[in-house]
Amino acid sequence: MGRQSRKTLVINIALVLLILCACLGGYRWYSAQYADGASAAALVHDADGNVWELSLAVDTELTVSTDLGTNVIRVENGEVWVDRADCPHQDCVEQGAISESGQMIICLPHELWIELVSVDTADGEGTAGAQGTQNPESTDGYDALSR
Amino acid sequence: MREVLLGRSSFLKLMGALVGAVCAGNLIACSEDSGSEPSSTTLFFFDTQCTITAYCSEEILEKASERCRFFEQTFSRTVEGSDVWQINHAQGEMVDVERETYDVIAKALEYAKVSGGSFDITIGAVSELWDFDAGIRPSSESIAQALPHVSYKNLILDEANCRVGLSDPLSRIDLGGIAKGYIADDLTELFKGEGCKSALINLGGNVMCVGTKPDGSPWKVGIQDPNASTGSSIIASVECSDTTVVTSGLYERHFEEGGVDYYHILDPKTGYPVLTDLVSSSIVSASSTEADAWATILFMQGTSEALTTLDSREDFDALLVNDAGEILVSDGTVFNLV
Repeated sequence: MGRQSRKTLVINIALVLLILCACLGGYRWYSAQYADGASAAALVHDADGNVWELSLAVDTELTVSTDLGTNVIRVENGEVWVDRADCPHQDCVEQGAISESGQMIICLPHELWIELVSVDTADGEGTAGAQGTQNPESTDGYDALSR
Repeated sequence: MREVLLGRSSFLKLMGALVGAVCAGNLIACSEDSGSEPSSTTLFFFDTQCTITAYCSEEILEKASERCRFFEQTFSRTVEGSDVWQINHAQGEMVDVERETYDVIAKALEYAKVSGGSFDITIGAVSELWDFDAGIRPSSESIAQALPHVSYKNLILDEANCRVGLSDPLSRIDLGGIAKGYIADDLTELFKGEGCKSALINLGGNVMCVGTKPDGSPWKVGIQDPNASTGSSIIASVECSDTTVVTSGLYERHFEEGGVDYYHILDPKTGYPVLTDLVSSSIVSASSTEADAWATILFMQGTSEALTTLDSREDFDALLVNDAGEILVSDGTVFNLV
């Protein structure tokens, strides 16, 4: 192989690798836009098996009523909370606002719960990946919490 | 014209093939990550939220749900007609009960004896006076009237006929300190009997890990900081495979009145919330029934006596948090402190 040919081969290979890296980098950047915490949704489950998906990026209010009672859920400034409810002890209201994937609010008397999931795991049906998974502050992830 | 090894056309084809291969590889990797999906169900039983996640058919999961309904109807002291309700209202007569009811009461009796009565399911005579959700504290007079009827020695078990009774008609059984552990063990037997090798049972924080995850890795269970609000901070983790993690803590149910905090774990000897320097105790064991009972027993003992107990037992591991904020773990611990 002549010197000129070897040089050309090296340049060709370098160009191919450069383009590949650019493609990979672009793909990783695109995926990172949906990383945990960057785009979260609240899945609201009621006693009748209904599930609502509320984006934390959109301020909204949801009223959920079943035979067990009524809860009013608010999303504002990237947080979700139970604003008011007619349950006897108001534990769900007192739990306050949550905003990170893995956190949860529970209203036991109304059998209603709100779980935060990252957008890519929320399919609007209450995904199995989100069930029983609570990871409030660690990036390692836990399958369950003992408390 | 200079000689090149790759013509323009060949170069573009090669680049396209390589880029396509890389993209396909990433997509395949992503689909493999989300591969075998578990089935999951969330139920509200035993006055708490229960989540069962299993890599098995929906039919098996439905059997587990049915099993939970069975136990709710059988073990609850407030469900009229349940085994426990019947025993509590039998005026001292023996009651025919389900085999499971007999088993859990027999186990509870063993723990009562080994703990010298600090674990006592006949606490029901007093616990029914308190309402930690509504913040109701009974009068000292009513506690004093009920306390003499708290004694595990009032339990009468007839194994041959599967019958249970209370020699004191005013004694009351409350299985709250052992029921979830027993039920978790029962569900574990169900899953394994059905051939399900990977499941996670979470009964209001009483966690049972059946097998490993499908990829062979252990389940990871976090221990909540008892001094933080629910779900907001983790102090330790355990990697579990066919093991259970059960925590007894002050923060689950309590209320404040007159500047005094009243916690839901009652002392059978006084009828009042136990006086202890521990704020939580977490047990890791192969048996959730055992873990449930010992989590309460160690909590009642307090730090010093609990550490002595741990020195003499090798069948479970424990993590204790005291009111000084110290985290104490058993020797050769399985806990990974955060």
